Amino acid sequence: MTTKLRILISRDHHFFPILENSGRSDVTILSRGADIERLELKEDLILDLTAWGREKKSDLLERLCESTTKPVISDLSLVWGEAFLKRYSFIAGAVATVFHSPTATYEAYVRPEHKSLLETAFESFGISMHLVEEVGIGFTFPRISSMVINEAYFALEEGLATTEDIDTAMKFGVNYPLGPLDWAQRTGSQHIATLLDELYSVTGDPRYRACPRLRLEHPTFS
Amino acid sequence: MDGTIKYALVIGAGTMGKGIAQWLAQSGVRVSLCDLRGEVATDAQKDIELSWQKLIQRKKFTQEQVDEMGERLNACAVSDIDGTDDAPDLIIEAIIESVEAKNKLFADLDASMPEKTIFASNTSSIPIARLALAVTPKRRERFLGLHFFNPAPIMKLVEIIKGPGTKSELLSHLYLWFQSKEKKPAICSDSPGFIVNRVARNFYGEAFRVIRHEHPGKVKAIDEVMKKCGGFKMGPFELMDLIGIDVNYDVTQSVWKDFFLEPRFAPHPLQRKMVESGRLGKKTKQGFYHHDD
Repeated sequence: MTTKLRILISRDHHFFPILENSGRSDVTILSRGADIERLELKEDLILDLTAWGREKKSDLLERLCESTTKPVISDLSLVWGEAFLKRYSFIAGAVATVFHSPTATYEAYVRPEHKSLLETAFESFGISMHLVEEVGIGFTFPRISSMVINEAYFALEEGLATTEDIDTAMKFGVNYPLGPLDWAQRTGSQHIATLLDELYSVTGDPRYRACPRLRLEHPTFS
Repeated sequence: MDGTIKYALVIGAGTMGKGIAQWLAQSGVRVSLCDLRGEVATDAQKDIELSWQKLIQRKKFTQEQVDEMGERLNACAVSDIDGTDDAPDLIIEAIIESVEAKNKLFADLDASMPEKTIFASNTSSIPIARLALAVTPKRRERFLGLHFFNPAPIMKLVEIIKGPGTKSELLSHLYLWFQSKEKKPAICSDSPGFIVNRVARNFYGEAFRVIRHEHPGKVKAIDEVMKKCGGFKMGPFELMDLIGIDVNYDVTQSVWKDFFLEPRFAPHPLQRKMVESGRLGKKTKQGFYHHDD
């Protein structure tokens, strides 16, 4: 039996250009939570890949809860996933796909009965999942890499070195697969600021203050 | 200003000095490897020669190439250094991380070396500006940091650190020279941790905040995620075990203090706990992981 899938994605997710050009009919572009009200959502699995922070994500999940009884797996890369899973207990699982992975492998936290559904969904667009037991705040890979990238922006802002030299140093001094500033471009620097804001909001720790130079790449005034 | 280096002097025959001298000899540069005690330099030279023999077995070099490299390398005591007849184009200091020791060395060398000689320190934690104080204002134009990474013959990166008086032209020439020798240079200003030891801090620091307290299962889980999803060759805890948890803790504290206790660089209590309990990583056979022989 073929698994019927509905992928919900925002335009600012790095998967978006690939999915848009794939000609798939199971992809729906969302720009706000209310957009799902025009959908029927009767597929076997609803995979939410919107790259959204706390408010928009929360609004979307509130609406999804009302709109479908089918399993929903949501990308919680940019939010306090642990709290979201507790509050929205109808969610069958969470994934972290917003940060570019050079190995096309992404963290996934999923109930055992939905594991194969998610696996099939990931395989259908050429990515793999790595099962984890905790989602924390922004999972593990997005959280650690956001802090490395933020520091690279502070270094850039202070004129420590050029973008090219910072990336060269990290690739050839400590064998990073990508330079942190290149990584930010592939991910979307606004997402890194969103996750840092969430970490700051949840922990109250000033170590998560996002670099102004990082915010300047996609200025918002909210 | 010519950035070409034909003859270099490496002072300090420890791990870094030895590696730098080996790389220079392999790259076609005549090099003298010196230490306070001449026999330390001679032993280091023997280690390099042994390493080359292994590289012949692995077919990385031919015997002929190794013979040529061997002819370019010699060992000596610091007291034998002579700047009158056969002065080096470049001196790289790789002695202990002590401002006093380095400044004395640089002051002595400044008095004996001709104007053309470039002075560089391989320090990873001392500001280049503090070291440049040991030499005359004229020499400061040719004084800079050259931070190599261990093992120096293999790791491609060299951080080229601009001192307070370093001529921009010299930085550009050295940048191109290192590129011509297949290194990957990165020019940076004189700031704590330079690029790598600063930007990499939170690869470790944030991993501690994710696990929060000692938990072997979580340590392994985080290393797995960073390798499988991030494409890193090693996870943060594996890497700390390899580097030495004490060494990593020292660098963290140094950068944190040099940035006036900036919270982004704050050490984590678990780092101190590991160090205080003597669990330093691979070298003590116990760190975040247990290491058998």
